[in-house]
Amino acid sequence: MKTILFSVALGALFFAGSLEIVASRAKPVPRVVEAPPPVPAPEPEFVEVLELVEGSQFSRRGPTYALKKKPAAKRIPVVLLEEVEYPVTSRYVPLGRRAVPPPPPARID
Amino acid sequence: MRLARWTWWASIVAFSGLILVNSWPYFSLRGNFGFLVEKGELASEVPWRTAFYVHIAGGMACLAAGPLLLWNGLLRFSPRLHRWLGRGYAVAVLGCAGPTGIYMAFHAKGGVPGAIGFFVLGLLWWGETALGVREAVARRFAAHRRWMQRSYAMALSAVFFRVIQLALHAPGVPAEANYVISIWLSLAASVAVGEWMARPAAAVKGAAA
Repeated sequence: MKTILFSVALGALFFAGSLEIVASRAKPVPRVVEAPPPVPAPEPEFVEVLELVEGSQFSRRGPTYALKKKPAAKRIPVVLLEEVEYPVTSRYVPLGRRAVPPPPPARID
Repeated sequence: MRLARWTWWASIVAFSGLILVNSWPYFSLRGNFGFLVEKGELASEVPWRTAFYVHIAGGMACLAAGPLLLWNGLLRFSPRLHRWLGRGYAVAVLGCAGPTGIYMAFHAKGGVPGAIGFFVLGLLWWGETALGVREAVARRFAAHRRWMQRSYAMALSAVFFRVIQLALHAPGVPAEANYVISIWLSLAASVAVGEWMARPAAAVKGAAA
């Protein structure tokens, strides 16, 4: 029993000595920086076309149309793949997609 | 049989040597080792960090001294050297690697199963070594030999753990599960090897040799 206690005491002494050395000389452990959470991809942009108005023009980016939006008119690039008959109202037109014209009004003769 | 025994001891010594070589750089006291980094804040606490270094130092001493202590050749050549090496082994296990291993088990990777595994391992290692020392002091050398064989088999759990972890990593066992399984399998392997080494037939053969 004495031998076992002596061994434990020697170990404790060794631990105490090591404690001093570690406290003064051990280099810090680098912290792991967690990666920021992934940013979700932006929603595809949709433009609510209220009314196509006069003043449509072509620019270097492609054709732009003056869109009359409430409360103020805003110029948004809209790529039209097909000729659209006027007026186009209350349509959701995604950029780069085809704007579907409304069905022509029924003729009443 | 002789060839099998030589192969066994050669691989044990080789793997132990590999662990000693790989563990040595820790004594540079640098903090940028993967094992320390993944411990996070805990690795910056002085008591835990000290326990870590003392555990490695004690474990290395045990792995290095174990084969020499179990070698009959050294015992016949110089019983005095055997006794001094044995004292060193006892201090390394009972005072250094054992208690720090038990303390570190509470912060072990692998959650509660991992902590319990290391705790049981540390407790068995300490207990078997203490019994071996007691038998040596009482001059009951046959029993002393058996307990020290079991104790050394427990020290070899460091070797078994790494071998099992690598073997499980190859077929793609997830890291967390691999760690816990390796702890318990290495514990089982250590107990089995300890009992195999301390079997009565081996004791008779050892005495006859």
